[in-house]
Amino acid sequence: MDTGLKGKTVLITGATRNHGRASAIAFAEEGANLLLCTRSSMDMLEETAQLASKSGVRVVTGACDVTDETQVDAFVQMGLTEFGHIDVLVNNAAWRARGDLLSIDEDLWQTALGVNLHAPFLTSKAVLPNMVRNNWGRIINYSGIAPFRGASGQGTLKMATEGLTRAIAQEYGRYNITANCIGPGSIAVARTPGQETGPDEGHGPLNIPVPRQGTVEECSAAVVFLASEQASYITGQNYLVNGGAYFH
Amino acid sequence: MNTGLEGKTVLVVESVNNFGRPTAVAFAKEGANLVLASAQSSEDLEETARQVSDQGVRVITGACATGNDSQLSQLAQRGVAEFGHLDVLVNNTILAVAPQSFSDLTFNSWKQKIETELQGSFFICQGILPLMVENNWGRVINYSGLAAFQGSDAGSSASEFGIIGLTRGIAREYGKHNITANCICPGGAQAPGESAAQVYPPSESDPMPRWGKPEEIAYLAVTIAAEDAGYLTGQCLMANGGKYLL
Repeated sequence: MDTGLKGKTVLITGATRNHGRASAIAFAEEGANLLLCTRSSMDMLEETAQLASKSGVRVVTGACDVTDETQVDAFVQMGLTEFGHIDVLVNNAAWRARGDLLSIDEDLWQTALGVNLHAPFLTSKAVLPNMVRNNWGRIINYSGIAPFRGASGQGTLKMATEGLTRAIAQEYGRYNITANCIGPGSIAVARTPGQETGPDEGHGPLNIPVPRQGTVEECSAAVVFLASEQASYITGQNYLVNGGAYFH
Repeated sequence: MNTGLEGKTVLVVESVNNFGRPTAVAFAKEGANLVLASAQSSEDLEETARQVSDQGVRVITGACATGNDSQLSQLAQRGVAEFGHLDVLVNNTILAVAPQSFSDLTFNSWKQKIETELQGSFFICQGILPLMVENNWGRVINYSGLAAFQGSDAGSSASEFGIIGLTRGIAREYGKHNITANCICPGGAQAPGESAAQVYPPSESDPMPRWGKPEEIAYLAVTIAAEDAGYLTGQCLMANGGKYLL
């Protein structure tokens, strides 16, 4: 299938590993050029860039705290100078508000709110004028299984991200810009210390229709599809990649 | 219908604006005692208190800034001291702002909306729920709306959908304590004093082509709080005249 992504520019936040790295590689295989950022893990980001470059695409990397308006604007401006256009935005950077309601303190809340919700707001604001000018764009945000299973911190923030996604979908459809979420279920990933998978998330065989954890490649395939030319009439949706753990 | 609410204590977070006042009165009619908060003038708050007292129940009031969880926790503690227990939270935390296009919405306005409503609600629930756990009974009632589903202005959509996420999280976590959490999602019902910018006017193509009445929203809160609604949790109750079908 020709996804029509060849020569497009794809911005992926937090593209150091896991979903972000898998998406970078998947987009590169479609011939898209990449604009990748991380807050602080430049070594890992360079590894991603190297892996993606094998497909012969151009990759530009940079450090950017996606919760900081000034840094986001500067990074997007740099990307526009490098590539001339940004066509796809994948808000992959994440910080989980893990734990039950009473255990989430102000610090954890603020960090998770910033990365999960403020960041997609800021990056979308920064790239949308260029997408409008080109009359084409794709924004892909990450929801998850938490809104459906019920999780006080993570579910709150992920559903809020879905709300933002719907608002963008509503307003920008007329410019051929779609905004969607991908909602991964239990996916095998490496976690930052303090963000480890808890016992509530299930290991090994899972009691779901597809009785195993998913892979990041199974998610990035959905991300690439949502960004493709073929997905031009899909907007405001949350594509669940969860092995049937929840039927939406 | 016996709602089992007689003698229960109901905290109404904003009992002047939005549907707060008719909701407070609806609970008073069921014999519940009220703890009323408002960021509005004490005169407006006392007017709600007067209407509640007219139903023959007890009431205390306190000024609380919108989304201020520590002020609300203190008021809730006063409620417990006065009435012995706190049973129902009507979390009517809403920062009404005129809808803006995404391109016009500044980061500061967005943050103000999210931090007041969504973050405020999160920490309000965090402060109040332990009081319900003590009695192994409780009802959390949050407010969302049509913006969450239809995707209108970004601040409202994100905040309202986030509050649904919060509601589901509380439902999952606190069901074992006989505490339910649900969302009321009004749309097209005009709250008293509400500016036209915040509402969804009736359209000829709506299943019910008329405005909703404040009482039609207030009634839902009482219904969700009733003893016999004990198995209803984590849900959105849409009261929008059929404008959006879940």
